[in-house]
Amino acid sequence: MTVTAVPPAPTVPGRTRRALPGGQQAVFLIVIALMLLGALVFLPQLRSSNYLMVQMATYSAVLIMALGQTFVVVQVGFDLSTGAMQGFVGGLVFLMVGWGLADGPVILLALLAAGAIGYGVHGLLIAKAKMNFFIVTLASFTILPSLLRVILDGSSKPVFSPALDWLANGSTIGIRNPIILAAVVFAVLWVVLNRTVFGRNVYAVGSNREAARLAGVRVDRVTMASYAICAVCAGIAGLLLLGSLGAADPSAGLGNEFFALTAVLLGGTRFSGGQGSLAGTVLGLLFLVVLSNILLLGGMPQFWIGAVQGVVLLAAVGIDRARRDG
Amino acid sequence: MSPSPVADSPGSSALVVRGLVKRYDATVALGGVDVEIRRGAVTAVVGANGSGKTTLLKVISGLVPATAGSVHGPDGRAVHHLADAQRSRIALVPQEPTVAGHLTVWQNVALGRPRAARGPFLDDRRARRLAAEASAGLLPPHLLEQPAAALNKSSRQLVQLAAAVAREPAVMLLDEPTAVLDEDGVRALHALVRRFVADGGTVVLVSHRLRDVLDLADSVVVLRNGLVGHAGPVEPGTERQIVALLSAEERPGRRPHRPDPTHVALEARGLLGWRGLQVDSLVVHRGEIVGIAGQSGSGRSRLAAVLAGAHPASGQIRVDGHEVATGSIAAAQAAGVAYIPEDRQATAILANQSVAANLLVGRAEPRLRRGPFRRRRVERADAEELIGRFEVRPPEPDRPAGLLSGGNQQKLVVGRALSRSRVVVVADEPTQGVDASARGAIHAALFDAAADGAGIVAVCSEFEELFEISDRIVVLCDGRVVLDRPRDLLTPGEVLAASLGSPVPAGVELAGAAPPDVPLSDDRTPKGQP
Ligand SMILES: Nc1ncnc2c1ncn2[C@@H]1O[C@H](COP(=O)(O)OP(=O)(O)OP(=O)(O)O)[C@@H](O)[C@H]1O
Ligand SMILES: [Mg+2]
Repeated sequence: MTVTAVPPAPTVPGRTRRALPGGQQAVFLIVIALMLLGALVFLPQLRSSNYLMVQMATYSAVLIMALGQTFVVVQVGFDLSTGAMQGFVGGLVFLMVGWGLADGPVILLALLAAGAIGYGVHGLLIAKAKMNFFIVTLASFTILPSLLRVILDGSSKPVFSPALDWLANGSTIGIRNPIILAAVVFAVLWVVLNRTVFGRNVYAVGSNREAARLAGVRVDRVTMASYAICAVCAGIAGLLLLGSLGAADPSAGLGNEFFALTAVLLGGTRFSGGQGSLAGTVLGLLFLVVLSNILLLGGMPQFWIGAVQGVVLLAAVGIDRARRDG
Repeated sequence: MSPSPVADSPGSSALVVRGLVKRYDATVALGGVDVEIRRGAVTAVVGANGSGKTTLLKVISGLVPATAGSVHGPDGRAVHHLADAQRSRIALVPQEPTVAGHLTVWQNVALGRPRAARGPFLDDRRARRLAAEASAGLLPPHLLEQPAAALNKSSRQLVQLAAAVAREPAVMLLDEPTAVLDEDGVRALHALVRRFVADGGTVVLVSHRLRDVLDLADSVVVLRNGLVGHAGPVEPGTERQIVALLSAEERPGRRPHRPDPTHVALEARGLLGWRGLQVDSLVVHRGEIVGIAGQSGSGRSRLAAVLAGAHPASGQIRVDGHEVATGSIAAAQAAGVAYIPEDRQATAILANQSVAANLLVGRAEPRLRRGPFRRRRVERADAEELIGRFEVRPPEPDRPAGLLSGGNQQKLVVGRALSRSRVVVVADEPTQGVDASARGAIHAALFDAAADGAGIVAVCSEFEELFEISDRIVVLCDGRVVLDRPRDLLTPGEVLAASLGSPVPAGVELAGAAPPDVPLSDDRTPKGQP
């Protein structure tokens, strides 16, 4: 036998269909749609369009927070302090309104402060000082609420700001403003993540930080910018919360970080980095909201909701894991 | 399938593979493979990148389940899982060396060996002894106490080999063990394989290196697109065809380049790097390819990393006459240094990102972007062009890079680095794990860069390739330059002697010598080819 006696190469091997990551999201969307349809049949309260609108407006703040968190998780990390930041920004607004600043500068400065903390404190300590992201943001998780209590002297303080009131409670062409704001934030972040070089670098850093560095990505800047985006989003969520409460509250926002993170992970973003999408995060949150509404309206006691959400998270991530291994 | 005829007798086959099919989703990695691996012999498995060699070895060793077909081990029993393979004493040394980085080398070698423990308790003395025995001749003894994370890629490969030896296997499956081994390492490996086979062991060896096949193999299996294209003994009659199959397919249209002694592309002076790297002077001219040789651990990769700004060092580096801050990859890249790192898994591949993203990441050419935005049409065309030029298979820009075969991943790393605008290319083992055809493509790309006036520094373990591509050869030993001479004034023997630390007769003019005034051939036949 000789080496030249080789059969013609078959055409099939080596070629593949590519597995669409979008396929998973389509399935998810269908599940949510079916849940909603079923709920509309069995739960008459849901049929009022106002009810749905109020629900969506209520959760817009958490959605914006989750969208920012997606950046941080994709580049590998987690910002534990987004809920705390949400409340803290309320305190800042309270202060600045007290100084007599106009609404525009107040909003701008509050978001700037949030971004500065994200970039210059979280990002700097994590990327440059190589401190663990969990420890750094855990520190903020305890520091920010404490500062907030100092600012507010420990009790809820009413804040009147027409712009924030309009943002949180107003409507434009029949749609609640928070929903519009969330859509705008989504659109901007989507372009940043999917259409800019920075966005691709966020994925690259999450996939293999050292490889990205050697390929020429300024990895520290990517990390710092991601924490800044996350903090600014938490700040926007804080403005919405303040506007809807009409007051700065010392315990505002606490706990929301985990709700938002649950949505991010349900949406297919992985802690291991380099994978995930903003659309997935939206679907994750939508799923959580629809599920808890169905359960509540269906008569399940409020106390059980958290347990159900936790189990759903485990199930979703478990199914995903099994699919990839099998 | 009916029970295999080998089920009841040891027979002459150590492994019997029947109708083996392995599918990953829609990809057919193995399309029905039948082979018998002779007992007490070395069988080489060769074939293009992505032809299914690694997959075959993974299935045989129970690491991944077969879609269909059967594998029978040396004891005649079927192998389905990792546990079966361990029972049948089949040991795999994988293509991408994976070691427990926080453990020491001896712990890695002795990991999971019952002999290294006393019941449920660890027995460090025995473990150390076992590790020393298993790694004798492969690793220098002082390496055993080091954390495995500190090792370079070739040492990690040898650690894995020692770990396989410690399992006292009947069959060793070696997946491209020589891809990044230096000359000494290759000899040690060849000696080990010969000893192992002489003692009755069976070896299956995957390699793209002609020398491994000609020197070691008793028979050869050629895989093509997941099927066996040929299986038979290595004999004088078939040798020529094997040579033709495995020699780099140099491109006839390769552009000639000529070093320009009046223009220095890269100049390094007084470099002091980590672990004893001490390079007083290194000069690379425009249009010149400088091959860096030396043993593993001699500082080749350290030098490359320092030149590319990937690691801090003191000293002076000038690119195109301009001083570049050392230890800053950003500064080096801004000055026009492109870098191909040695260890693609750890430091080059974005495994869960697409092929296109891997080819594009970090590149700063203005034509690829508009302000902060990506120009996706241009990106797409660029990625497709690179996929074609470097023969990435399958040619799908959207496939996650981690699903490509090892050689195809290497092509991504090379394609990314060689497509940036560059004054200097620092390539650390650029053709590791790459098949004959793609090796020719990479050589052509390096020549192309040189013809465009870039200076090229290429770390090269394989002498044949070193002499094929280099205009000048620099040999390192213990972190220092011990030889720096035009290629045409050197022989492989001299390079080996220098890298082992023997004094080199100062025959002709030394360091910094002007390049030879001979026409630079770009059609030389590789040495060793009849
Ligand atoms: N986990 C996986 N998922 C999908 N496809 C895969 C996976 N692993 C390998 N493949 C595909 O299977 C085919 C065979 O790959 P394999 O790694 O066996 O090639 P190889 O012969 O070892 O190549 P190389 O010489 O480059 O190492 C390739 O087309 C590869 O893309
Ligand atoms: Mg392989």
